[in-house]
Amino acid sequence: MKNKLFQTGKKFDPLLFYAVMSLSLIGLVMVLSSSSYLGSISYNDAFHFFKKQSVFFVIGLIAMLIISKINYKAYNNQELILFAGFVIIIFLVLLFTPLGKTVNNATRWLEIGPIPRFSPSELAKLYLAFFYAWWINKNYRYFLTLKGFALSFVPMLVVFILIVNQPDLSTAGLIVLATITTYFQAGARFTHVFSLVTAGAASAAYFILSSEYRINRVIAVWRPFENQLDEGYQVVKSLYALGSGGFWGLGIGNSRQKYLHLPERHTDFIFSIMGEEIGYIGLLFVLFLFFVVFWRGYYTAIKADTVFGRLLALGITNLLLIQSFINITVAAGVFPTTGMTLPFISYGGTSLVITMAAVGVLLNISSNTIKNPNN
Amino acid sequence: MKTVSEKNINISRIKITIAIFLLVIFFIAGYLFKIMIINGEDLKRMSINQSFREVETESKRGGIYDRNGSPLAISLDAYSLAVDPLLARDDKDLHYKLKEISSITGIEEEKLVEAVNKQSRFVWIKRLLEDEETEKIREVRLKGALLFEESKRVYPKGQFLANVIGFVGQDNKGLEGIEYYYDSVLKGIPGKILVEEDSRGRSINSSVYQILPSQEGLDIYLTIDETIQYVTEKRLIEAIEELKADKGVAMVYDLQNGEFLSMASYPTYDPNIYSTFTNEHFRNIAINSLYEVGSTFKPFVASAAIEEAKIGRSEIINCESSIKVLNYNIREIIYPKSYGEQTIVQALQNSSNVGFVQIGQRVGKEDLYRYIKGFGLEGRTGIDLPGERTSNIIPERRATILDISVSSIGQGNALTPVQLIRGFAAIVNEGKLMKPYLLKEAKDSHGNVIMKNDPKVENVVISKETSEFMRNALKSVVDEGTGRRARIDGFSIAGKTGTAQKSSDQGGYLEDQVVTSFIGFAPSNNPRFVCLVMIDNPQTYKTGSQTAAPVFKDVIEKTLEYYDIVPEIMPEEAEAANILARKGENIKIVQKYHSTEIEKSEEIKSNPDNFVIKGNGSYILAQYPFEGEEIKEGQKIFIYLSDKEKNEIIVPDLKGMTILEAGRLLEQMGLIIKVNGSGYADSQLPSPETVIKKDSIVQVYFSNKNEGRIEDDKIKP
Repeated sequence: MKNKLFQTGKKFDPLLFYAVMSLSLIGLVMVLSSSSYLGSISYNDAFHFFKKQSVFFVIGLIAMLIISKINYKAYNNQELILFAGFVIIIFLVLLFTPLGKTVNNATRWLEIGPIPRFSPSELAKLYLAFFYAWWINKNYRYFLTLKGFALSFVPMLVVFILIVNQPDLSTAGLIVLATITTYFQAGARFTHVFSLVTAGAASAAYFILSSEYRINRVIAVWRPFENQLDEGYQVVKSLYALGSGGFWGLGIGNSRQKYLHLPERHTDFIFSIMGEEIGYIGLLFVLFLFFVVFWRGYYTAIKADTVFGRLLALGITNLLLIQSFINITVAAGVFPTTGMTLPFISYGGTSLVITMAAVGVLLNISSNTIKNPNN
Repeated sequence: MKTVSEKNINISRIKITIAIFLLVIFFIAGYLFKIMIINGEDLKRMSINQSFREVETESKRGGIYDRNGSPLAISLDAYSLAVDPLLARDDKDLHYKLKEISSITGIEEEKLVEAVNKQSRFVWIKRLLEDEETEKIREVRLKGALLFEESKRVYPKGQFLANVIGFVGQDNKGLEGIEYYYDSVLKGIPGKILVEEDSRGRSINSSVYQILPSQEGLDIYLTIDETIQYVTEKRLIEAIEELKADKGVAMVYDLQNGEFLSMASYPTYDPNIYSTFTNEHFRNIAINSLYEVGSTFKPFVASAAIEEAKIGRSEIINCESSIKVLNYNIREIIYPKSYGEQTIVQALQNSSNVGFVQIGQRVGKEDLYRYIKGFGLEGRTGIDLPGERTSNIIPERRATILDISVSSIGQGNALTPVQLIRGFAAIVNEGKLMKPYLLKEAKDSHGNVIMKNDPKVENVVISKETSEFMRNALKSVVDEGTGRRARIDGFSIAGKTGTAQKSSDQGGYLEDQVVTSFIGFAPSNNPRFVCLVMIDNPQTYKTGSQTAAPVFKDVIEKTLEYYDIVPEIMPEEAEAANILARKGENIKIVQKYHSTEIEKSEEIKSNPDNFVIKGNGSYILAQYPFEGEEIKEGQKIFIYLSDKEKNEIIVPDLKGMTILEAGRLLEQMGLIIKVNGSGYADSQLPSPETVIKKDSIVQVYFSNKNEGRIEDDKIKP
C-alpha cells in the first residue's frame, strides 16, 4: 500500500467542485451588489469590498486545488493533530492579548504581523472535525463506552469555553451541534447521544433564560415588528428585503435595503439581499446548490476508503451544513439573530479561504473512494 | 490501515441525518415561500415606505406688479452652496481652494475650515449666492461642493410699497402683506418627487421619480399705480420728516370701483433686508392702526342727518361756544368764541363741535348706529391684506347720550384709515359702499387671467340727492372753510380736515399728542379719487389744515395730472409767479421729453445748452430729472438716447439718487436695478457710460451719505 503525499493522478468529485465554485461566484456578485453603496460612500469606491473579496477568492481557489491533491491520510497523524491543537489553543488564548482585535464588543480577530487578520474560531471549528476524526477512529471501542464518550467531550469543551469567552456564542453553539451530529453519525450509543442532546438543550435553555438580553433576542425573532426599533430591527429589515424580492426579485444591483437600511448586509444578512435581488426562484437555486454540496459531502463520507476519511468528511460537511442553516434561518427570522456568515457567499476573506481549503480536503477524500482503491 | 468494512460505522445513521437535513431544507424553502410570496406584497410596501420619501419640489413664485405691469417683487433663480466635508477633505488643494472660496463669498477662512472638518456629510456654506459668486465657485472645482438651485425673492424698488407688498421668508413663504395674503396664489403648486434614501436620509442620486410636476405661481397685478404710489410715498415721508411726526398714512382710492391706487404707510422698511427691521416697520398703518378720527367723522353724521331728514338743508342751528351734555362741556375749538347761527354746511366748514353735537343728537342713537354700520365702519372692510384690525365702536346698547354726542365729533369710536376712506367714498359716490381691494388680477405664465377682482357695490347707504348735497358741502369746506390749504388752482376738490387727540392706553386723552388728517375727493363735480392723509403726532404744526392738507393737495394734483383730467377752471397765470415767490429763485417745471424721437423735440433743438445728451441713437429712452419735477433755472436735464429697440443702452450715473429715483430711471431705460443698502446711491456696477443690453442688471449700492446728485456733466478725472 503506497501512501504518496501528493496524489496528482486522481479525480475528485466534479459535482462537489462545481457546486462550490458556483456558490462562490454567486457570492462574489452578491458581495459587489450589497457592498457597493457602503464602499462608494465610505471609501469612494463601489468596488472596494469586491476587490478585496476577489483576491481572497483566488487565494481560496488555489488553496482548494492544492489541498485536494494532498492525501488526506497525512492528517491522520498523532503528532500533527496534537501540535495543531496546541497551536489553535494558543491562537484562541492570544485573542485576549493586545493582538486581539475587538469589533462590536467581541474579540474575534487576530492581527499577527503580516498575516492577514483572521479569526481563530474559524480554524478551531474546522480543527475539531480533524481531531474527532482522528480520535474516534483511533479509540473506537473506547468511544462506545460511557467513560470514553464522556472523555471525548474534553477538547470540545476547552474550545467551547475559549470561544464563549470572546464572546462568540453562535460559533460555540455551532461547534457543539456539529460535534454531536458527528457523534451520532459515528455510531455512538443512542442513549449517550440522547442524554448529551438533552443536557445540551437544558443548558442552552438555562443560558438563554438567565439573561434578559438573550430572552429579548429570542422573543424578537417571533415578534420582530413589535421590537423593530431594537431587538427586531435587523429581522424586520431582513424581512423587508426578502418580501421585496417576491418571486422574481428586483434584479441584480437593485436592492433597496442595501442602502444601509439592513445592517450587516454584505456579511451576516447577505442571504436577504440575495433574496431581494434574485427572488424566491433564485434562492431555490442557491438552496439547491447547497444541497448538492451536502449531498456530495455525505456521499463522499459513505464512499470514503477509510474510517478516518469518512469521519473527516462527515465533520467538515456537518460544519458547512449547520452553519448555512443557522445563517439562512436567521435571515428568515426563524432563528435568533447571531453573527454567523453564510459559507461561500458572505463577505469575509479568511473565512472564505478556510472554507474553500476545507472543501479541498473533502475533494481529496472524494478522490480516494472504495471504488477507486488506493493501490 | 483499517478499511471501512472492518469497522462498522452505521451508514444508516448518515442516511438519517441526510433525511433530517433534507427536511430542514424543505422547511426553509416553505418558510421563504411564506415570507417572499404570501407576505411579500406587504413587506415590499413597508420597504418602499421606508426607502422612499415624497419630496416637494419648489415651484417658481409669481411676481407682484403694479397695475401697469411694473415689477414690484420678482423671484430670481439663485444657487446655494453646500459641501460634503468627507469628500472635500479628500481634495488635494483643499487649503488653497478654501482660500479662494473665502475671497469669493466673503466668509472667513476659519469658518470654512471648521465646516469641512465637521463629522457630517452635508454643511451649508452660503445660501442664495450672487450670480458672479456662483460662476467663480464653479471654477474653483472643490471636491464635494454642491450647488443647489433655489429661488431668491427680490424687491427691485426697495422700500417702495413695502408695507403693502410684505416679504417672503427664507423658506419661500410669504410672511407679510400681499406676499402673505396671496401666498397660495403666488406660491404655485409644488411638484412631488419620490427620492430613494439610505438609512440616514441621504438621497441616492440615481433614484428620483417625478410623480407630479410643479406648477408656477401666478403673477399678481395690484390696483396700485406706481406713479401715484411714488408721489404719495414721497410726499408722506417728506411731510412726516418735516413735521417730526411718528407715523403716517396716505392713500388714493378710486371711489368708483374700490381700487387703491396708492397706499403709503410710515414707518417703512426695505423688504430685501427685512431681517434688519422690526415688526413696527412692517405694520401697514392703513389697516393696522385704529384712530379716533376726529372731525373727518362729521361728514358721516351730516349724511345721516340729511338722508333721514333730521335737519333741513338750510335750517339754522344756534351754536354757543360750548354745549353741556350730562355733566360734560363740549367746546368749540375757538372757545370762548362761538360760531353763532349756522347751517349744516357752515357747521361742516367751521368744523363746529357744538353744531355737530346737536346734529348727532337729532339723528339719534338708533339711526346713528345704523349709518355707522351702513358705511362699513363696524368690524372690518375685508380688504385683501393680512392683519386688518376690527374697529372699536362703543357698543350700541351701552351708548349714552354723551357717547352719541362725542361720536358725532369723531371721538370715542376708533377706525382704521381704510374704513374711513371707504366709508367717505360712499358718501361721495351716490351712497355706494364698494368692496375695497388691492389685487386687480392674477395671471398665469401664459398671460391668462386666472383670478380677478371686479368692482362690487356692497351697500347703498344714502340717496343720490344726499350724496350730491354732501359733495357740494365738502367742496365748500375747501373753498371756504378749514380745508383751504388743499385748494388746487384749476381743479375743484372737496374734503374735510380732522385733528383728533390721541387716546392714551391708560384711558383719557394724551394732552399734547394729536392725529391730524385730511380726507377729500376730486374732481368735485365728477368725483373719481378719494385721498386720505393721516399724520400721527406731528410736532411742529398741530392741525389737519396745516399738516395733512398740503400733502393731500400735492398728491391729488399729481393724480389728476397723471390721469389727464382736464382742469375745470383755466390755471391762473399767477401760479408760476406764486412758485417763484415761494422759492425766491427761478424755478421751472420739467417737461416730458422721453419716449419720442429726439428730432421731434423743438426745445432740445433750440436750447441745446440746457441738456446733457448721453448715448447714441435717435430715440429718447429716459430723462432725469423726471417730468413734472421742479428744477432751478439753468440746471441741466440729462437725456439718454438709444434706438427704439433698446439694443445698446448707456448706463446712467446714479450717484446721489434715492432708491426710488434710481429705480425709476433705470426702469425707463429698460434696465433692472438691484438694490444694495439704503439711502443715496453711492456706487454702481456697471459703472456709468458703460454700454449694456436691455434687461441687464445694474447693481446699485446705497449709503447714508448724500454727496449730492450729479447736476452737470462733470467728467471725472
